[in-house]
Amino acid sequence: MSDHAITHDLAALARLDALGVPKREQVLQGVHGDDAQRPVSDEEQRALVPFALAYARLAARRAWGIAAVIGVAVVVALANLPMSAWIDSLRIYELSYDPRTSLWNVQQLSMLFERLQLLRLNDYASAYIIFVIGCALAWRARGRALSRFTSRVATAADRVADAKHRVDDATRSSVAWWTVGTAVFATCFGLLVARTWFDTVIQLPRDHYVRYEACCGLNALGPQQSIIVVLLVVCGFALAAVRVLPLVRNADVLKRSYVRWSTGVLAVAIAWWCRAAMGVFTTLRYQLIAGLAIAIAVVVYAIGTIEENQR
Amino acid sequence: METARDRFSRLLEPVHDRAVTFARGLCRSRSDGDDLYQEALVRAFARLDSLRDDGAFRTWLFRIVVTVHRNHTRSAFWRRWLPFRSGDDELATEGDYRSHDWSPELAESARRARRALATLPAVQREAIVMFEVEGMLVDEIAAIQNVSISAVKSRLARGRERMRAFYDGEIVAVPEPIRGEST
Repeated sequence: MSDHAITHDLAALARLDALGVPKREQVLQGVHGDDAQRPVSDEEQRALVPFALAYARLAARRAWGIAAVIGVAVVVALANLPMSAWIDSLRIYELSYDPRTSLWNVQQLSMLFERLQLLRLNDYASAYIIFVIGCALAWRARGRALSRFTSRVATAADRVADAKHRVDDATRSSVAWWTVGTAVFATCFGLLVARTWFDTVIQLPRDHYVRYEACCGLNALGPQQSIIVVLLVVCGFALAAVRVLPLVRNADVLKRSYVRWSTGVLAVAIAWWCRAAMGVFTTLRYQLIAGLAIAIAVVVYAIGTIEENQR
Repeated sequence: METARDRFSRLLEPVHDRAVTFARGLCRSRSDGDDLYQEALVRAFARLDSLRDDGAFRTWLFRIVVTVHRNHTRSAFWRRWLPFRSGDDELATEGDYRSHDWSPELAESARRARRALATLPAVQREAIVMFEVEGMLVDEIAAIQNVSISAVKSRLARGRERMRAFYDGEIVAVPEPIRGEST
C-alpha cells in the first residue's frame, strides 16, 4: 500500500515541480548579471507590482521592529532616570549658555559632562546605546527602503529577472548591520561592566568611588558576577547572531524580517534580564521594567515565529 | 567564434527544465530548489572550461547540483537554530494555480512526498529523486554520484525503505540534516 502511495506522491511531486519552471533566459541573466539597460517591457512593469508590495511590507515590518527596539530602550531609559535628573540636566544646559555673550560657559559645560559621564552614563549607558543603535538602524532602514525601491523601479529590466538574489543582497547587508550593531552593543556593555568591576577591585580614590556607589548601583556586582554577566551578554548576542546569519543564504528571507527583528528585541531583553538577574537593578521597579521588557519581547518573538511557520 | 556564454546557453537549453525539477526535488521547497539551481549554474558557468565533452553536460551539471546541495546540507547545522521551516510552498507562483495540472489533491500528494524525502539522508534523496522522479538510469546516477552501481542500488533500496517507514507512520518527525553521508 505504502509503495503505491510513494510512487503516486513522487509522480505528483514531479508534475508539480515541473510547473512554473523559470525561463532559461531569466536564469542565465542571473548568472551573467547584466543587460540592465534594455528597455522595460509592459510585462516586466506589471511584474514589478508584487515587488513593490513586498517592499512595502518589508519596510513596514522593519519600522515595526525598529519601533519595538526604540520603545523598549525609551521605556527602560525613562524608568531608570528619575525625573529630577532630567530637570537637572536641562537646568545645567540652560545655565551653561550665556545669551548676552552668546558664549558657552566652560565651567558649566564641564559640570554637565562630568555629571553625565560620571554619575549617569554608567548606570544608563546601555539604554543610551540601545537608543542610538535603534535610531541608526531606523535611519538606515529608511534610506535603504527608499533607495532600493526607487532604483528598482528605475532599472526594472534585469531586476525582475534576478530580484530574488538582489533581495538576498539587501538582506545580507541588513543582517550584517544588525550583527555589527549587536556586536557593538555587546562590546560596549561588556566594557562597561568590566570597567565597573575594575573600579571596584582597584578601589579608585574615595570621592570618585563614592560617586559611583551613590548613583550607579553597578558596584553591587562582584568580580565573579561581572564576568558572568559579560559572558551571558556576549553569549546572548552570539546566539542571536547565529540564529540570524543562516538567513543570509535563504531566499525566503524577505518574509522573515519579522522574526529577525523580534530576535533582536529578544536579545536586547535578554541582556537587560541578565542585568536584573545579577542584581544590577537594585530596586523592584527596575526589575519589573526588565521583566516587562523580556515579556514583551518573548510575546513578539512567539507571534513572529508562529506567523512565519503558518506561511 | 562561440563565446562561453553562448556555449553555456546552448548546452543548457535541452536540460534546463529537468535540472530545475531535479533541484526542486532535492530541497524542502521549490524556492530553495530554485536557489540551489541558480547557485549551481553560477558555479557551472565559472567552471565551463573544465568541461571537455559537451555530450556529458547533463551529467556534469547534475553533479554540480548534487555537490552544491550537499554543501548546503552540511552547512545546515546552523539552520537547526531557526524556529521555522521553509518547506511546503509547492505553489510558489500564481501561474501554477492557473495551470490545468494543478489540483489540491496533487499539491497534498507532492507535499507528502517532499516531507518523506526530507527524512532521507542527502545521498539517498538524490538517488530517489534521480531514479523515481527524473527517470534516470542507475548507471547515470552512479556517474553523477561518483559511486558504483551497486551503491546506487543500495541507496535506492534504503531510501525506499525509509520512505515506506515514513508512510507507515514509523517516522513522524523530520530528522536534522545529515552530516555523515551514509549509504
